[in-house]
Amino acid sequence: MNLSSETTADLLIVRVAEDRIDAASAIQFKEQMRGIVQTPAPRVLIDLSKVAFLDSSGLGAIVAVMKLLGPDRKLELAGLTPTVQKVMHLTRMDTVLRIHTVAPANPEMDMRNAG
Amino acid sequence: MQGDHAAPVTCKVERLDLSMHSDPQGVRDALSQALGRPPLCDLLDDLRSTAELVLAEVLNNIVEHAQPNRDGHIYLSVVQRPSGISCTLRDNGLPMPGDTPPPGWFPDDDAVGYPAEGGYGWYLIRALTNNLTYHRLGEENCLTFELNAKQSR
Repeated sequence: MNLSSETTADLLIVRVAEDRIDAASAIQFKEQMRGIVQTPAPRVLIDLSKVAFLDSSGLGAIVAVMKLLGPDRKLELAGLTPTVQKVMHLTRMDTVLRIHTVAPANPEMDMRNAG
Repeated sequence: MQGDHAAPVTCKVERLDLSMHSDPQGVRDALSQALGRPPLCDLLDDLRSTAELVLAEVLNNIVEHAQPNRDGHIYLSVVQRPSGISCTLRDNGLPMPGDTPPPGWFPDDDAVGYPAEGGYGWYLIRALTNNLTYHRLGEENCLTFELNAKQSR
Protein backbone atom coordinates (compact mmCIF):
# COMPACT_ATOMS: atom_id res chain seq x y z
CA MET A 1 0.00 0.00 0.00
CA ASN A 2 1.45 3.31 -1.13
CA LEU A 3 1.14 5.94 1.63
CA SER A 4 3.27 9.03 2.03
CA SER A 5 3.25 11.64 4.76
CA GLU A 6 4.24 15.26 5.36
CA THR A 7 4.19 17.27 8.55
CA THR A 8 3.95 20.85 9.70
CA ALA A 9 3.85 22.06 13.27
CA ASP A 10 0.41 20.72 14.09
CA LEU A 11 -0.67 18.75 11.02
CA LEU A 12 0.34 15.35 9.69
CA ILE A 13 -0.91 14.82 6.14
CA VAL A 14 -1.10 11.26 4.85
CA ARG A 15 -1.61 10.85 1.12
CA VAL A 16 -3.05 7.55 -0.08
CA ALA A 17 -1.75 6.75 -3.55
CA GLU A 18 -4.05 3.76 -4.07
CA ASP A 19 -7.36 3.55 -5.88
CA ARG A 20 -8.99 1.21 -3.33
CA ILE A 21 -9.12 0.64 0.41
CA ASP A 22 -11.12 -2.59 0.50
CA ALA A 23 -11.26 -5.98 2.19
CA ALA A 24 -8.09 -7.04 0.38
CA SER A 25 -6.06 -4.04 1.62
CA ALA A 26 -7.71 -2.65 4.78
CA ILE A 27 -5.46 -4.49 7.25
CA GLN A 28 -2.36 -3.34 5.42
CA PHE A 29 -3.66 0.25 5.45
CA LYS A 30 -4.31 0.07 9.19
CA GLU A 31 -0.88 -1.40 9.97
CA GLN A 32 0.96 1.21 7.91
CA MET A 33 -1.08 3.99 9.49
CA ARG A 34 -0.16 2.65 12.91
CA GLY A 35 3.49 3.42 12.12
CA ILE A 36 2.83 6.77 10.42
CA VAL A 37 0.78 8.25 13.27
CA GLN A 38 3.69 7.70 15.67
CA THR A 39 4.79 11.11 14.38
CA PRO A 40 3.41 13.42 17.04
CA ALA A 41 0.95 15.91 15.54
CA PRO A 42 -2.36 16.94 17.10
CA ARG A 43 -4.16 16.74 13.74
CA VAL A 44 -3.90 13.91 11.22
CA LEU A 45 -5.41 14.47 7.78
CA ILE A 46 -5.81 11.61 5.30
CA ASP A 47 -5.90 12.73 1.68
CA LEU A 48 -8.26 10.29 -0.07
CA SER A 49 -8.44 12.12 -3.40
CA LYS A 50 -6.86 9.17 -5.27
CA VAL A 51 -9.11 6.59 -3.60
CA ALA A 52 -12.02 5.78 -5.92
CA PHE A 53 -13.43 2.99 -3.77
CA LEU A 54 -13.72 2.24 -0.07
CA ASP A 55 -15.93 -0.48 1.42
CA SER A 56 -16.95 -1.24 5.02
CA SER A 57 -13.57 -2.90 5.65
CA GLY A 58 -11.83 0.30 4.59
CA LEU A 59 -14.23 2.30 6.72
CA GLY A 60 -13.40 0.07 9.70
CA ALA A 61 -9.70 0.78 9.12
CA ILE A 62 -10.37 4.55 9.16
CA VAL A 63 -12.26 4.18 12.47
CA ALA A 64 -9.37 2.10 13.82
CA VAL A 65 -6.98 4.95 12.98
CA MET A 66 -9.29 7.38 14.78
CA LYS A 67 -9.05 5.17 17.87
CA LEU A 68 -5.26 4.88 17.56
CA LEU A 69 -5.04 8.67 17.82
CA GLY A 70 -6.88 8.71 21.13
CA PRO A 71 -9.05 11.51 22.48
CA ASP A 72 -6.47 14.32 22.22
CA ARG A 73 -5.64 14.04 18.51
CA LYS A 74 -8.06 14.66 15.67
CA LEU A 75 -8.48 12.65 12.49
CA GLU A 76 -9.66 14.56 9.42
CA LEU A 77 -10.32 13.46 5.83
CA ALA A 78 -9.94 15.34 2.57
CA GLY A 79 -10.71 14.93 -1.11
CA LEU A 80 -13.49 12.35 -1.00
CA THR A 81 -14.38 10.87 -4.38
CA PRO A 82 -18.11 10.20 -5.05
CA THR A 83 -18.17 6.56 -3.90
CA VAL A 84 -16.15 7.29 -0.77
CA GLN A 85 -18.41 10.25 -0.02
CA LYS A 86 -21.45 7.98 -0.37
CA VAL A 87 -20.03 5.51 2.17
CA MET A 88 -19.10 8.29 4.62
CA HIS A 89 -22.56 9.80 4.35
CA LEU A 90 -24.53 6.55 4.68
CA THR A 91 -22.51 5.52 7.74
CA ARG A 92 -22.80 9.03 9.25
CA MET A 93 -19.02 9.25 9.45
CA ASP A 94 -19.35 12.69 7.87
CA THR A 95 -20.88 13.85 11.17
CA VAL A 96 -18.06 12.34 13.25
CA LEU A 97 -15.00 13.39 11.26
CA ARG A 98 -14.10 16.79 9.86
CA ILE A 99 -14.11 16.43 6.09
CA HIS A 100 -12.34 18.91 3.81
CA THR A 101 -13.51 19.26 0.23
CA VAL A 102 -9.99 19.62 -1.12
CA ALA A 103 -6.76 18.27 0.29
CA PRO A 104 -4.13 20.94 0.95
CA ALA A 105 -1.55 21.11 -1.82
CA ASN A 106 1.17 21.64 0.74
CA PRO A 107 1.34 21.82 4.53
CA GLU A 108 1.59 25.61 4.60
CA MET A 109 -1.80 26.10 2.95
CA ASP A 110 -4.32 27.80 5.19
CA MET A 111 -7.10 25.30 5.89
CA ARG A 112 -9.36 27.44 8.01
CA ASN A 113 -11.78 27.93 5.14
CA ALA A 114 -11.55 24.46 3.69
CA GLY A 115 -14.33 21.90 3.77
CA MET B 1 -29.10 12.98 -23.30
CA GLN B 2 -30.26 11.10 -20.27
CA GLY B 3 -30.69 13.06 -17.07
CA ASP B 4 -29.95 11.79 -13.58
CA HIS B 5 -33.59 10.80 -13.26
CA ALA B 6 -33.67 8.30 -16.08
CA ALA B 7 -31.88 5.03 -16.75
CA PRO B 8 -30.87 4.15 -20.28
CA VAL B 9 -33.58 1.98 -21.81
CA THR B 10 -32.76 -0.47 -24.55
CA CYS B 11 -34.62 -3.40 -26.04
CA LYS B 12 -31.72 -5.80 -25.69
CA VAL B 13 -31.49 -7.25 -22.19
CA GLU B 14 -27.88 -7.34 -21.08
CA ARG B 15 -26.80 -10.10 -18.76
CA LEU B 16 -23.53 -10.87 -17.01
CA ASP B 17 -22.50 -14.24 -15.53
CA LEU B 18 -19.26 -14.62 -13.63
CA SER B 19 -17.70 -17.10 -11.24
CA MET B 20 -14.87 -16.34 -8.84
CA HIS B 21 -12.65 -17.82 -6.16
CA SER B 22 -13.94 -17.13 -2.68
CA ASP B 23 -11.06 -15.02 -1.35
CA PRO B 24 -10.48 -11.24 -1.07
CA GLN B 25 -8.28 -11.00 -4.15
CA GLY B 26 -10.63 -13.20 -6.17
CA VAL B 27 -13.50 -10.90 -5.24
CA ARG B 28 -11.52 -7.79 -6.11
CA ASP B 29 -10.53 -9.16 -9.52
CA ALA B 30 -14.06 -10.37 -10.31
CA LEU B 31 -15.59 -7.04 -9.33
CA SER B 32 -13.18 -5.21 -11.57
CA GLN B 33 -14.09 -7.52 -14.48
CA ALA B 34 -17.82 -7.25 -13.79
CA LEU B 35 -17.78 -3.44 -13.67
CA GLY B 36 -16.10 -3.27 -17.05
CA ARG B 37 -18.79 -5.34 -18.76
CA PRO B 38 -22.46 -4.81 -19.63
CA PRO B 39 -24.81 -4.20 -18.01
CA LEU B 40 -22.68 -2.67 -15.21
CA CYS B 41 -20.38 -0.60 -17.44
CA ASP B 42 -23.41 1.08 -19.05
CA LEU B 43 -25.03 2.25 -15.81
CA LEU B 44 -25.08 5.89 -14.75
CA ASP B 45 -22.18 6.71 -12.40
CA ASP B 46 -24.27 6.81 -9.23
CA LEU B 47 -25.91 3.42 -9.77
CA ARG B 48 -22.66 1.90 -10.96
CA SER B 49 -20.87 2.99 -7.79
CA THR B 50 -23.76 1.70 -5.67
CA ALA B 51 -23.52 -1.64 -7.49
CA GLU B 52 -19.78 -1.81 -6.86
CA LEU B 53 -20.26 -1.09 -3.16
CA VAL B 54 -23.16 -3.50 -2.62
CA LEU B 55 -21.53 -6.32 -4.58
CA ALA B 56 -18.26 -5.81 -2.67
CA GLU B 57 -20.09 -5.98 0.67
CA VAL B 58 -22.09 -9.08 -0.25
CA LEU B 59 -19.07 -10.86 -1.71
CA ASN B 60 -16.85 -10.00 1.25
CA ASN B 61 -19.48 -11.36 3.60
CA ILE B 62 -19.58 -14.64 1.69
CA VAL B 63 -15.78 -14.93 1.82
CA GLU B 64 -15.64 -14.06 5.51
CA HIS B 65 -18.66 -15.87 6.91
CA ALA B 66 -19.94 -18.50 4.49
CA GLN B 67 -16.56 -19.78 3.37
CA PRO B 68 -14.02 -18.85 6.06
CA ASN B 69 -11.82 -21.91 5.54
CA ARG B 70 -12.99 -23.25 2.22
CA ASP B 71 -11.69 -23.24 -1.26
CA GLY B 72 -15.09 -22.21 -2.49
CA HIS B 73 -16.60 -20.57 -5.52
CA ILE B 74 -19.12 -17.78 -5.89
CA TYR B 75 -21.36 -17.26 -8.89
CA LEU B 76 -22.66 -13.81 -9.76
CA SER B 77 -25.25 -12.90 -12.33
CA VAL B 78 -26.48 -9.41 -13.11
CA VAL B 79 -29.45 -8.74 -15.36
CA GLN B 80 -30.47 -5.38 -16.70
CA ARG B 81 -33.99 -4.17 -15.95
CA PRO B 82 -35.76 -1.00 -17.13
CA SER B 83 -35.22 0.71 -13.77
CA GLY B 84 -31.85 -0.75 -12.81
CA ILE B 85 -30.37 -4.20 -12.32
CA SER B 86 -31.19 -7.52 -10.63
CA CYS B 87 -28.36 -9.43 -9.00
CA THR B 88 -28.13 -13.10 -7.99
CA LEU B 89 -25.27 -14.56 -5.97
CA ARG B 90 -24.84 -18.27 -5.31
CA ASP B 91 -22.17 -19.93 -3.19
CA ASN B 92 -21.59 -23.37 -1.72
CA GLY B 93 -20.65 -22.10 1.74
CA LEU B 94 -22.26 -22.28 5.17
CA PRO B 95 -25.89 -21.16 5.46
CA MET B 96 -26.80 -17.80 6.99
CA PRO B 97 -27.43 -18.19 10.74
CA GLY B 98 -31.12 -18.99 11.21
CA ASP B 99 -31.44 -19.17 7.41
CA THR B 100 -32.05 -15.42 7.51
CA PRO B 101 -29.91 -12.55 6.25
CA PRO B 102 -28.86 -10.07 8.96
CA PRO B 103 -31.27 -7.19 9.65
CA GLY B 104 -28.52 -4.64 9.06
CA TRP B 105 -29.13 -2.35 12.01
CA PHE B 106 -26.80 0.60 12.29
CA PRO B 107 -23.94 -0.55 14.57
CA ASP B 108 -23.78 1.00 18.04
CA ASP B 109 -20.88 3.18 19.17
CA ASP B 110 -18.40 1.42 21.44
CA ALA B 111 -18.29 1.93 25.22
CA VAL B 112 -15.96 4.95 24.93
CA GLY B 113 -18.13 6.63 22.30
CA TYR B 114 -16.15 5.83 19.16
CA PRO B 115 -18.07 4.63 16.11
CA ALA B 116 -18.07 0.84 15.66
CA GLU B 117 -15.15 -0.55 13.63
CA GLY B 118 -17.33 -3.14 11.94
CA GLY B 119 -20.91 -4.13 11.29
CA TYR B 120 -21.57 -1.64 8.48
CA GLY B 121 -21.63 -4.22 5.69
CA TRP B 122 -25.22 -5.43 6.03
CA TYR B 123 -26.34 -1.95 7.02
CA LEU B 124 -25.09 -0.68 3.65
CA ILE B 125 -26.55 -3.66 1.78
CA ARG B 126 -29.98 -3.13 3.34
CA ALA B 127 -29.84 0.63 2.81
CA LEU B 128 -29.02 0.38 -0.89
CA THR B 129 -30.96 -2.67 -2.15
CA ASN B 130 -34.60 -3.46 -2.87
CA ASN B 131 -36.49 -6.76 -2.69
CA LEU B 132 -33.65 -8.70 -1.08
CA THR B 133 -34.31 -12.43 -0.76
CA TYR B 134 -32.26 -15.32 0.61
CA HIS B 135 -32.82 -19.05 0.10
CA ARG B 136 -30.87 -22.09 1.10
CA LEU B 137 -31.15 -24.45 -1.88
CA GLY B 138 -29.59 -27.82 -1.07
CA GLU B 139 -25.93 -27.07 -0.36
CA GLU B 140 -26.10 -23.58 -1.85
CA ASN B 141 -26.86 -20.08 -0.62
CA CYS B 142 -28.83 -17.97 -3.06
CA LEU B 143 -29.15 -14.24 -2.50
CA THR B 144 -31.07 -11.96 -4.85
CA PHE B 145 -31.69 -8.21 -4.81
CA GLU B 146 -32.39 -5.24 -7.04
CA LEU B 147 -30.68 -1.90 -7.39
CA ASN B 148 -32.75 0.91 -8.81
CA ALA B 149 -31.54 3.85 -10.80
CA LYS B 150 -33.94 6.29 -9.21
CA GLN B 151 -32.72 5.57 -5.72
CA SER B 152 -30.93 8.66 -4.42
CA ARG B 153 -29.18 8.80 -1.08
